[in-house]
Amino acid sequence: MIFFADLLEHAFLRYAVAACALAAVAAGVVGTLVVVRRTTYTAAAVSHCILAGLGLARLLQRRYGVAWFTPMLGALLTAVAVAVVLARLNERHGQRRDAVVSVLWSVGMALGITFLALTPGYQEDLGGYLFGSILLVGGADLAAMAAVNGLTLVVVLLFYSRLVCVAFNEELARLRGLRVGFYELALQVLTALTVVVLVRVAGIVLAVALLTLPAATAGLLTRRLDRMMALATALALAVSLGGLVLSYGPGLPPGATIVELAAGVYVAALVARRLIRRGGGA
Amino acid sequence: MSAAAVAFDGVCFAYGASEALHNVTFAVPERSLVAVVGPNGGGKTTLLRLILGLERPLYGTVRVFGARPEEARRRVGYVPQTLATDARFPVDVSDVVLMGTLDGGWIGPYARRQRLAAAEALERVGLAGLSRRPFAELSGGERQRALIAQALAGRPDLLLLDEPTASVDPPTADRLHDLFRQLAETLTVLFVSHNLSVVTAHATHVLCVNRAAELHPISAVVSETFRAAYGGGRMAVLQHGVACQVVDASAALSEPHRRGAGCACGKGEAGL
Repeated sequence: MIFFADLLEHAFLRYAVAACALAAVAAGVVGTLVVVRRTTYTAAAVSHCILAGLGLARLLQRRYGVAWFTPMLGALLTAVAVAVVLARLNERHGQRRDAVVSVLWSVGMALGITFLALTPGYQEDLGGYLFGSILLVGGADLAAMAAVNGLTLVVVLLFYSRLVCVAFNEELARLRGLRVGFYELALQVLTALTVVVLVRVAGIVLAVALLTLPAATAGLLTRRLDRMMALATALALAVSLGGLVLSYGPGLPPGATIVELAAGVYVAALVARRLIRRGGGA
Repeated sequence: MSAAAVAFDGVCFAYGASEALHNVTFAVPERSLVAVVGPNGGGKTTLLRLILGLERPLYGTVRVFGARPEEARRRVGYVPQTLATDARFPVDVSDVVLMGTLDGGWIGPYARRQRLAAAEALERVGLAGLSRRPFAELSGGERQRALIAQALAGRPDLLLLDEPTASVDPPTADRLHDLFRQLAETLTVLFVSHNLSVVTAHATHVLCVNRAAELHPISAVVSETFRAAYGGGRMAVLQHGVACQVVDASAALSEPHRRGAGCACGKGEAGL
């Protein structure tokens, strides 16, 4: 296949493969926590808010010559800021939380669009930010993605039992003397950082699909959280590499192909489970 | 003499403008088995939440083993009436029980002593054989026992159970009540119940909650003759007069409920 021939030849393809691998770990581990806590909506809000950070970085770089403020840095800073706001919201608001999350979502997008409009030059960035540009991933991006993965794995390994308790039943965690606010913040920040990684692969609009579909698929196939994380990681790796390979030949957008493949695998798992249950019940 | 396990002193609590508990004073002695009875919406769950420090009184004080409820939490095991969690959450029974052993510690996996405590608690509720079963696949009764094991795994001195037998079959309920009686030999147990035969057969005290609350030793509520006549059967209403004696259930059913006189449970249906 042309992909494998070109893989040896072009560094950008090897970077893209590395990006898929790094994204898979974050998507599998954090995506599982997001799915079981039913917080995919807030993850989607973070994803869309990132456009503000990306836009600001482009504006500062191109208009004011602040070269060190890269889009990746802008995205990370925005994501963490939004995560902190979301964690505080959880403590204070309750029922109206969804409205505030929606407002954050759209204001983030609006700011991003304004920043990009104020940025001089050709507006080629917007499409890449919205729908992913995995073939444009560079070494610095990979380093940032690896750092996010490292942090995710360390936090999850150290606090695993406590994070599971907070996710399972927050009231129980509070009664057992756990610092629920801290773990809530940790989960929000990890989710936000993971979304940044996934945005680099699939774009703002599609990142949440990559965060939730492999984890949701794994959730159909296993009833243990640790196995769900491992399986979701494997599935995320398979669909992101598969999507990359499948899209390369015909020149399709890789982010979209990855998400379509992930959705296909989810539906296949759903159907297979139904068939197995029906067979078992007969 | 040690402090009471639970002591309320002039406690009032309201959700917004609606008062849930009014001027409640009582003290539960240690190692008693207290049946909390009263009509739905009478404030039973609120009372348990005040003991846990999940709610704070508007007036008055709550003390648990002489300390503020927040400080005593780790000595308290709690089984809520409904679990505020996703029923399909991917954990197995032993994971759920282990959560009950968590303390304020920050990091790392469960220690050996925590695993031992969880295994012991599972054994105690008769679920040792199901420890690897997904929590989502348990029956209502098994789930309830797993949650009781979770509460026991923290080795509590006080156990609070909000309608622990509401969703279990009668043989399991009997078994659980025997367990509570055993447990009350070494710790204090408060359980919300709507089943009078259970209350009379097992409890050492009855805490009547209907906006107000009063604690009675079981001897003051159920005379021996009454226990002999009705203890094993079903009774509909427990009503208190001034002396807080149980009256004949059939007579109580035909009478209008008394208002304002005597203890709080006389104000409405006792819900039993």
